[in-house]
Amino acid sequence: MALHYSFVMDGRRPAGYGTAQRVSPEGKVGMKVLVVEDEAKIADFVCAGLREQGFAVEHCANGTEGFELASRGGYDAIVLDIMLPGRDGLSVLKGLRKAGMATPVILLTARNELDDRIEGLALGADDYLAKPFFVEELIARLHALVRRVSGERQNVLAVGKLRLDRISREVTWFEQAVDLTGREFNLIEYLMRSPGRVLTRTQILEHVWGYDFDPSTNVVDVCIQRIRKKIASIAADAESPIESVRGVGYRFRKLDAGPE
Amino acid sequence: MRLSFRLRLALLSALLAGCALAGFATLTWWFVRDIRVQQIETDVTEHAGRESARRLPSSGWQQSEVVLARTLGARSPVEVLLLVEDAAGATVYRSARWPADTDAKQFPWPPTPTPDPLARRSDPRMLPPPPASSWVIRPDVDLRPLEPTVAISSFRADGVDWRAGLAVTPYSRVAVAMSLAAVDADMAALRNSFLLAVPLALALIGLGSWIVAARALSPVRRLNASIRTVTAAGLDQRVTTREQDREFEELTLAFNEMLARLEKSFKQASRFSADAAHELKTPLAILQGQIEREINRAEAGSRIQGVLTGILDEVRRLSAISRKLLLLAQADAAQLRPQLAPFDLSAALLALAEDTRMLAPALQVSEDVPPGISVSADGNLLTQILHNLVSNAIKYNVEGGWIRIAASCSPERATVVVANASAGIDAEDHGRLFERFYRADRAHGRRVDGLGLGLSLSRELARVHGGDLELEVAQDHSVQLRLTIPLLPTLASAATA
Repeated sequence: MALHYSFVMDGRRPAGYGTAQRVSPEGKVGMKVLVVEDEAKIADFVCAGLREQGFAVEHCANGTEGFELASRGGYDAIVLDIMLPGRDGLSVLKGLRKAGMATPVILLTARNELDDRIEGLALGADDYLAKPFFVEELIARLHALVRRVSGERQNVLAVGKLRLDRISREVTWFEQAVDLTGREFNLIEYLMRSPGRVLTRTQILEHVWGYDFDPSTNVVDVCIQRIRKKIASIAADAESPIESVRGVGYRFRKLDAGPE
Repeated sequence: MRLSFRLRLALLSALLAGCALAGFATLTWWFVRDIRVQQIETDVTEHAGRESARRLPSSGWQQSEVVLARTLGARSPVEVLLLVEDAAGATVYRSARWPADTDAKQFPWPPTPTPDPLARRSDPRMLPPPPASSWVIRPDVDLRPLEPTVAISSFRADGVDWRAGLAVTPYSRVAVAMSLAAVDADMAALRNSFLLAVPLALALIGLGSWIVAARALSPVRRLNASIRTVTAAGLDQRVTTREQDREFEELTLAFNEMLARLEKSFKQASRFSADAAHELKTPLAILQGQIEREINRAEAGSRIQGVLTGILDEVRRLSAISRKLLLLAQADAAQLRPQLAPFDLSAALLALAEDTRMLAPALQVSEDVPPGISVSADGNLLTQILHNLVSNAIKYNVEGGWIRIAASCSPERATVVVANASAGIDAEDHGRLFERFYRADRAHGRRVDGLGLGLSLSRELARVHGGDLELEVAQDHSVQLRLTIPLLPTLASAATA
């Protein structure tokens, strides 16, 4: 499988990225993704969301065509709906795996989730997302997927003075370690992935706590406050990297790493 | 105690056969005896008549008695008695063994026949004996003896029944008696053979019907066995009609038809939930995706962004409800198949305790979770159960209350107990807590926001794993929910996994 990574930090970088990053939050700009989804409106915001994040997106609306496109190769990942006109998603996946295509596949399903998930994973899908889903979550999964396939080349996220190591699960702020719990680490990692982007409480809740957590809880706010407190205890005068957006949620500041 | 159908069948047949046999034996015995006695009566009467026609000296009668015993077929001379009296009533001959207590005068002697004058004249005994030298044939004389009058009498002597034939002529009275001892002995032998044969026959019939009943019931047993395998294997199976008797083939067909109807309605229910899922989730996905996009496009912190965020939360709530309903529908239709994998219960519970502290800082949260409890479960579903338990414990708590999360582990199953302080649950609410959309009344206010599906769904999900979820009210002011999950997949869930 040919992965088309372009680690160039040039004009193709998406708008949301900081200007002076030493390491871009994700770095895999220019990844080519095939979206096979028949519902035009879903395809519309998925494609738009992915493009905003710097992915090169191709879209097709039926299974037969999707299979032909995918068989040609050249994609870094495929987002595959299960209910499709023509060949259904599971059949496309089966065909691809049979033909020896190992391109990472994320399945989208609205149907009988558990059955689809089991069958899909058994057929060789790499991940699975139940409708309705957040595009932000799809992007996070795509990044994680490609990272896994490419052998974890992007283990360190750095925005401003905040560095995060995904392998050792260590976070440093002004080169001092911040002691975070599992949830806190996952939350800050999620925010750091797209600096400057507003993430709603619900999006954060779903990514960090899981699908079924009661959306009416204030656990996100509590968790953010604790992270802020921990960071502030290291450098009290520095501006907190996590910014509240009133009535919406939070976003990670586009922090300048500053001169070394 | 209720006897088995087979045993009842065998006993009933034995009872019926027993009644029939007993009736038959009794009648047979009766008829045989009657015939024998009648034969004896005929014989003694005939011989009495014959003897009455003779005139013999006393010694001649003794000889005659011996002959009589032989002709009557008596097994010993003791069984025959002879009495001869002359016309005046004087005893000419009486058997030596004549029973002492039997008075011949008491016999119902028939009346003396009145001789026809002509006949008397012609009776050779009335004529003067012809001269010895000249035998003359007198055609006018009827040589037949005068017919005696006869009667039958029965008496009892020395413990034995006797039948006596009585014959009366104008010259003599003769009684020939025969004992019924031989008949009684024969009848006793017959009765004994019946008493031996009938129970034997009954036992044979009982055994036979026991075996026949088993044979008759064996198709039912076979049918039962195949129905069991079919229902265990799934609704798409059918009982084979091959090797079935005609009567049971109908039963099998009826059962198969019932299975087909069941399967159809199950499929409908499951297709409905799949369709409903698709129909609901697609517009929800569109709505959510578009709102998400607009939130990111809107100016950060603007009013419209806040409004959109509020709408997004409601959309998420709506999808959570529809997802729970669909899970319940699937569980009801037995269509929920968990994907079992090792799941670190201890780690999940510790993370949950951490969340609980963040969610409810005012509550005293304690946990007693030994490390390393791993269960075989569907991570998504089990996490959902645990979330539910904890969010319930928070929702239905009291001000300044407490929550305790404890886990333990036996060789077969892991047990999670989530307890919390409570204002108390009414006794009538206990059983209803697991009803869908039911919430204890005091929780109906807006203060507690949630959906009365949580516990119901959690219990279903626990059962899908082969475990259970139960409510235990420890004291008045605490509520305790106990979740059990098998460490190894149960047979039922392993078969579907």
